[in-house]
Amino acid sequence: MAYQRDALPGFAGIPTFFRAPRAEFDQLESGVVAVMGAPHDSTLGSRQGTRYGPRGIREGSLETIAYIEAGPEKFVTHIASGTRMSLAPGAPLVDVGDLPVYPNDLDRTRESLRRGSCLAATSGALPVMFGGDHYVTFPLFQGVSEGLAARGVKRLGYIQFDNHLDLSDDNRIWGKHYHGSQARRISELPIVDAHNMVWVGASGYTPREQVDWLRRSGGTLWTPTDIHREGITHVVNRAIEIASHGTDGVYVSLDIDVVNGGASPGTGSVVTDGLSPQELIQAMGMLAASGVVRALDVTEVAPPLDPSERTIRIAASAVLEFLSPKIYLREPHVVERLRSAKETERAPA
Amino acid sequence: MHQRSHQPSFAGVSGFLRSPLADYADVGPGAVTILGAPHDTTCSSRQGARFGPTGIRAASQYLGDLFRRGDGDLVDLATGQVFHRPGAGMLLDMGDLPVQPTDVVRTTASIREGVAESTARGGFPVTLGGDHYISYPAFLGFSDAFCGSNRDQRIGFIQMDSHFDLGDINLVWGRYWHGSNARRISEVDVVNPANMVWIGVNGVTRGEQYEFAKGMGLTFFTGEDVRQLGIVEVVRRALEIAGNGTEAIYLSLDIDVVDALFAPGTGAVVWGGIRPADLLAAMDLIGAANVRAMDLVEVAPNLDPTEATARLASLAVIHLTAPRLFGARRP
Amino acid sequence: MSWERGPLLSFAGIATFMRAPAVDFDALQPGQVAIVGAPFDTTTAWRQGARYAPRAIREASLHVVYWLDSAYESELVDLESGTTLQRTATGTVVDLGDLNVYPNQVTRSAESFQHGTREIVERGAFPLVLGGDHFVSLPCCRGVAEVVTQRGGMLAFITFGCELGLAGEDPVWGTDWSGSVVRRLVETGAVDARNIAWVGPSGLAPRAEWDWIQHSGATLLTAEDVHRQGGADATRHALTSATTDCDAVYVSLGMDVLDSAHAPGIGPAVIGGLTPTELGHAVAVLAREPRVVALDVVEVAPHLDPSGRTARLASNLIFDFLAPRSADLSPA
Repeated sequence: MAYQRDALPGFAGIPTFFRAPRAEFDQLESGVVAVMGAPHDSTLGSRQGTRYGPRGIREGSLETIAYIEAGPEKFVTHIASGTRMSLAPGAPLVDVGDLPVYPNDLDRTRESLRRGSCLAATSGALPVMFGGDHYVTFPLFQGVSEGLAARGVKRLGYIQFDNHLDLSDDNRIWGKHYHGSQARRISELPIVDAHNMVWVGASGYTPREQVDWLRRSGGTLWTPTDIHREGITHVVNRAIEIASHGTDGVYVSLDIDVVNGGASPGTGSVVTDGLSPQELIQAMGMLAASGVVRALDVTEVAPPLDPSERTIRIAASAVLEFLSPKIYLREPHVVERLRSAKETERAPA
Repeated sequence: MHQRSHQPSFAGVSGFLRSPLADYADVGPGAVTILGAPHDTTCSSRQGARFGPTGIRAASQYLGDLFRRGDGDLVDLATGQVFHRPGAGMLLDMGDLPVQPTDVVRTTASIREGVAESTARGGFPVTLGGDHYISYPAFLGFSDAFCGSNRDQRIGFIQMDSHFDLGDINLVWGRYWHGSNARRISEVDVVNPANMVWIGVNGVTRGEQYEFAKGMGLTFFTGEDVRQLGIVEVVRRALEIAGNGTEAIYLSLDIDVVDALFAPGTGAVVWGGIRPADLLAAMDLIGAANVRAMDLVEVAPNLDPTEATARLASLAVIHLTAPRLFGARRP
Repeated sequence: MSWERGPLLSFAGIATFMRAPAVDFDALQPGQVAIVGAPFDTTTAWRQGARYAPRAIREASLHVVYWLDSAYESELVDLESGTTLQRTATGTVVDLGDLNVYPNQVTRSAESFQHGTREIVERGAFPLVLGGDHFVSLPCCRGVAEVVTQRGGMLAFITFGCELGLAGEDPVWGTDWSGSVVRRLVETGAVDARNIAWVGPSGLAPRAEWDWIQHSGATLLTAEDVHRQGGADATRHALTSATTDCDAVYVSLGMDVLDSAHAPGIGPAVIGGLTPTELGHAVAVLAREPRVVALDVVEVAPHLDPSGRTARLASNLIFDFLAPRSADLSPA
């Protein structure tokens, strides 16, 4: 008799993101979400570990899917709202694995990441990309924008959730290309206007040159203090407005160090104030609902720095919340009043 | 003869809060009895709850030693509450109950019998998990002794937890695992679902559990409800429901009801959980009501290098049992 | 062409605090800030590790220096507070290395710390002591008090930490240990009880110690008070209450005032403690108090923190404290 596969607990099985099927680039098409990894971390000046980010985020997603798959009925319910969520049929989500990286050859790595993200965007799939350090966002953005340009996109907005601005122009050690400069490099691309660029969550000591550039350029910043004061809902609504004003879509880049470090310690930078995990997840849900996001990346997750494994779960949950309209069917959970056998036997207390 | 004198807090073999290790014969009416149930093979999240009893005892030693400095009274700097040193014989540590990691039937019987024995002698059982499954045999043991043959009695049930644990059958884990303890408790004859309350549930749950909760008329307050209404109001309502027509209330506390920022030492990672101050306030309020037994589960000390989770668990036990132990009062 | 030193990443180079020049006592100049380590944790009652803190805090400080050194323009600005850090070559901050320490000899180590701190003050410099656990505050504050008293002044003691440090003679630890620092400061006459303020204690404290505070004239702002008032107001309150008639203030910044959730690298388990933001606001007030003549930073146990955040928090708070006084970095 042939071996029958059963549901597996979360620690078992070969991890693809959310146990999505593996796919190759030539299988991508419109309407599909393509997850890919970019495990490059040779341009970071903080503590190491982000090369394990893609694998870690994949692992962080397994508990959720294992939970659904092990139930006799394959749906879950959001307790507070009473919304029933079952897995959408078909294979809306696929995992194309990791893009090749060359730790001692930045040009080659950049070309690899640019090409991979371009292929995904050209096909019409929605690219969801995991770093690596935050520098990967520059070649990934380049590739995505080239792919979208081939599909008629003329302007892109950019929202960066991050404890840092990453607006360095030139650095005495790193030069012009490292995880402190990707946003500056992106701002120089013709498809982007700084007036459509938003930073959410930056705080702490920042080189004066970057702060001055931000002021001159017309970009917008909300610090954690601003967010505590105005509320995440207002901030994200405004960010979406600014990034989509006059653009054909928005690229969202999430640096996990935007989250309060006590809640999410698994990242190279040390962060004392930021978003709570709940605020991040709410923001991702709002971005999904807006319909304007054309690509998402998640960077700077360094699993070895977090033995409690909270960071990979927060990162995975943020992505799953963003993908929720695509991977879940939602409907109100209607419940009939049940009477147990016990209740019918005896009088209620 | 060698005199045993004082030792530093990190030294010495003793029970919870430096209480003596005791046997059932030492249990008198009103004594708070700590019972370890280091069972965790029915845990579907990350491992480590088997070290819960050890970790909680270790984290409590420092607190136990604070009582011997000065005149024995302690002040809670945040609230002004005063705690006295436990009276002689009022806090006993019964050690750990035997568990069989691969045999849930034997483990269930062992925990059930230990908790029943302590209850029958007049003790207030505090069962330290282990994973949340142990709540089911602990409840069975308590109700065996408390109700005896009088099955018309009713026991109210409060579960503080991010999860319902109302699963019936799981394709991987079967019928008896840390996702089904509350479902199994709901099936006990002395429990009326109308007296069952959850505080702190969050996120998503399997659809069948939500259906069961809503369909059976169980009451639940989410983490958001706690933030909106305040912990005092939520607990007041919970006590009303659990106390309505019942002779006793059983409290089951899963430490993952607390937000992962403050309690990372547990298998499940939860955000939107309640704050430590709210947990301790809830313990004060429930402790002053007709609670007669509790369990505290899912502390996995290995997952929290700061030891704060185990320390918070110790404080939760102290706050809940304070009226019995110390006659705690506000100044 | 001779070989030129360039900027270094934070894992590289021999770590002095802020890459400040390593000097000895005889090179100290008036007006300088002297970083000095007291790596002693023998009287820690629970989990150890603070002996590694001086090295860890020095290493953690290199991150900000790397940012300053590797940028072409050398000014950092805090996005929320507006505080700036600059590179100048004034050499205000120097690193004296670590004081002599005898891990199994409490008295000998205490004498070393007291003597070293006293000499820094006698030479007109500002002692910035990297502990060690809370115990080091006792000899270091006494060293400062000696000079202040000689000059006819009065010293106040403002301390951040989760516990009160008011233990009396302990059957295990004796009279001088990490739990008795404040009581011994008062008993030895270094500081008057009316000139003592705590900011941030949390958890359970012995009733006898609580009662002592009520009768002594000392000022207690608990962690709960800080949550209610904010770090800045609570600190101002402490300064106002405790520094009447004082021309000098010794500040002890115990990182165990922080909640374990935010600062895993501390010995005690702290529940209900301060957030880094609250402590940052407190330090901002202290940074602008001209009467502060000495600061210690204690209770970081770096090996207890795989994320490395606690040492980095301590280092950042030191930068926040120094910024208005000496915003200075000497080239490596």
